[in-house]
Amino acid sequence: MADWERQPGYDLAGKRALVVGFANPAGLAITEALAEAGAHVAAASATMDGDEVMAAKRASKAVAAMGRETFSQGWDVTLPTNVTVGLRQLTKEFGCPSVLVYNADAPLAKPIEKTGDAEFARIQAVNVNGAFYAARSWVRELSEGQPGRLVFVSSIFGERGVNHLTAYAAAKAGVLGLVAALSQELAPAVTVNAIATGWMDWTPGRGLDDPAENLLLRFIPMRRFGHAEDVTALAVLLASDAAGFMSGQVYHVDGGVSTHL
Amino acid sequence: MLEKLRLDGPPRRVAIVTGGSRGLGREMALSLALAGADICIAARTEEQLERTAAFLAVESGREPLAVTTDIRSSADCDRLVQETIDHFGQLDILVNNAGIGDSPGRGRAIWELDDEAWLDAIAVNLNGTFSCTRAALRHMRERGGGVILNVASGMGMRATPQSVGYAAAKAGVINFTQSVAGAVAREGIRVNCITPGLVAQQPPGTAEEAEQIRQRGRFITARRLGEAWELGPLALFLCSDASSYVTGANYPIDGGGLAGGVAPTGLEPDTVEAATGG
Repeated sequence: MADWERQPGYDLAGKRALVVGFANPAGLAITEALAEAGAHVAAASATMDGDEVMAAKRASKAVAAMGRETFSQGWDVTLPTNVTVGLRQLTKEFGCPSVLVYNADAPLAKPIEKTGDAEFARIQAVNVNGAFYAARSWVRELSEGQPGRLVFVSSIFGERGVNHLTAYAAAKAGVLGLVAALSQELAPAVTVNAIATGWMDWTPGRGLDDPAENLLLRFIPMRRFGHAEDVTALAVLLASDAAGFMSGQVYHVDGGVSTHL
Repeated sequence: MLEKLRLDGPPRRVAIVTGGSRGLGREMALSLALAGADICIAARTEEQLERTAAFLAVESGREPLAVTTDIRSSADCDRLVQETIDHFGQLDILVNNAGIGDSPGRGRAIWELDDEAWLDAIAVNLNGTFSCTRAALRHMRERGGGVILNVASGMGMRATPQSVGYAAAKAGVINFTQSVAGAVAREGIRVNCITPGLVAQQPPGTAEEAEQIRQRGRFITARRLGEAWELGPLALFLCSDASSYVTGANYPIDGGGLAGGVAPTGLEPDTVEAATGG
């Protein structure tokens, strides 16, 4: 098995990447996958929540254990100045990443009439405002014409309606709009794409893992929830030189559920 | 993670690539072969097929099977699947790539399109995908798994006035992908679709061709046409276990045109210039 060479599209040797957002397991899985493909990978939490900051540190340690360069930071993506300063420091200490994966994710499942102002603002701030701030600060650090790869991990709920997800859906749809517009603005040097996940094994309110017990699972064609590992190879591909003709798109990783949602 | 991209096993994978003798098909076949799959390439022209089979053998070190096939004939599609199974013992991956952009109806106004031109566009671009899929699924369902990858076109996602038959057929391929995915998801079979934008089938052979390609790429967001090899890594992702939670999905690779700018529908530059004020 060891003689198997990395295939074109899955070789990131020497590239520098930054993954933002470790509140869900996809952050760590993507970080490890980028490192496995040869990249040096920095990790930044999207919030100053203690668990998330520690998760970013652990991800960074995992990268170091694979023999790659790394750096870890605690960000609050809801504060534009914090993001700008964080990225500037990262560029100084680690180097300017040519790959940015934005995986910040703040879920909320609530009926609209029960969603408070502060809750709504928080969901927008982490999911979409932070995406904008991170992209903007990163673009400012990139030198003119420098190739880059920007990948947002978003959600099919930004495209399909599900009860009680109004705040979350609005925010995730905002990210998809950001992808479409930014893909035009930053072309041709930088590509911008989204990975849209469906019900993952960390999605709040998903219920039991047994299709016999859980009607929701019977609604998902593949009859299981997604795992963090399910998004990793796609993230690597989108980060690679081979994906220069893939831009402005939303790639679904959802077990087929969006085909009939 | 990268291990999931391997197709040499265990378990070993066998793939059919239709339209596999040139262009995108050849490059996708090469990617799958390099990842370790045993490959059967299918196309109409035997001589070209043999040449590509020899090329794949040299590049990948694996001996491909070449089956002359006209996918407009469902009997041919059945035979293609059967010969592949007879030769390799199984079938795990079907890439429905065969299609003809330059069908007889291309460039003709709809009111001047005869039945033959319309039906031919549907036959080769949609019926062929159906026939090969049906033949492959009969085997894959018995085996309890498999992957089908269809190749649509950006023209199936936006208006393409100069090629209505092709565009309608490719739009059909996108929905066919979703519908078949839903029908077989519980049997461990995944069905997805790649939607290429304008992609050069092969590197330019002359300065004139290079200039033509450059001109056609001017209005694409990426400022260039795609290159056939760029389809390979995406096809490998969608055909391997690395995409095990992806089904019924449409993955465009179009240089950003579908997201904005000018969609890859092959509009003539003067039309585009008028529309964009360029």
